[in-house]
Amino acid sequence: MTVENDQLTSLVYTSTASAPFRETALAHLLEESRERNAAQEITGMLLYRDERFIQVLEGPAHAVRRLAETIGRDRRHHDMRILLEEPLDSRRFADWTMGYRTLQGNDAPVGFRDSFADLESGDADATTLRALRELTLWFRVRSGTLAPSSHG
Amino acid sequence: MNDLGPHPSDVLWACVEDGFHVGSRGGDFLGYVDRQSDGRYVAFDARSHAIGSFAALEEATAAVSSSGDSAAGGNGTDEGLMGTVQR
Repeated sequence: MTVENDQLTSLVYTSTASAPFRETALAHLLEESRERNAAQEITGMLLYRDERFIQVLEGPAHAVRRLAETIGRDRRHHDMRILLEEPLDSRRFADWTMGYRTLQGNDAPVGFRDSFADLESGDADATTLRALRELTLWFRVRSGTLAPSSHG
Repeated sequence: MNDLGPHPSDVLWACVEDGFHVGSRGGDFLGYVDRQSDGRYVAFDARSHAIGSFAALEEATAAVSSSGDSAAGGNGTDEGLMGTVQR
């Protein structure tokens, strides 16, 4: 989908780590990206599971695209694939210059889809959107910005 | 698609990580189930209201599915909860 240059935009990509990331390397990566993102009005979320990344970038379209190009040249990962680019009315990750969470390997129970795998597969728009919503919900709940409330 | 198990065929359940499960029907968000540290499963409706605590995952997912039934027509994706997802 094409969006205007300054339109608030979300871009989601997946990629593979070139080598297993230790916590210190991830911390360094996040420090770099948060400084850069703050300067460019970029917010988003980075997920890591089994040497695979899924990252959501949101901000002005031109800044998001430029950043995606820069990220694509980073040798710490490869096989970068853009799964989704869409206009936004408001940011989903306004509180994070780059929120981060590691997911443990997921043995989804029988009858359950695997959200990370579904988003990563990018087989169909509906599947990608659903999986993105699920991961976004989980991120917000785990980050404490979506406080569950008691019934009634 | 591995739409097996005890769920009604029109409800799609996804597992984000071990213990965190999200339900949807026809693309509309129904709610989620989050396993607590004591091993119980707490079910939440589409607005993140807790609707019950259950010993078994199947009971919790059934509660979420039922909450979606009772809110049919007025439920669906809560933009404030899920974030704006545009097609």
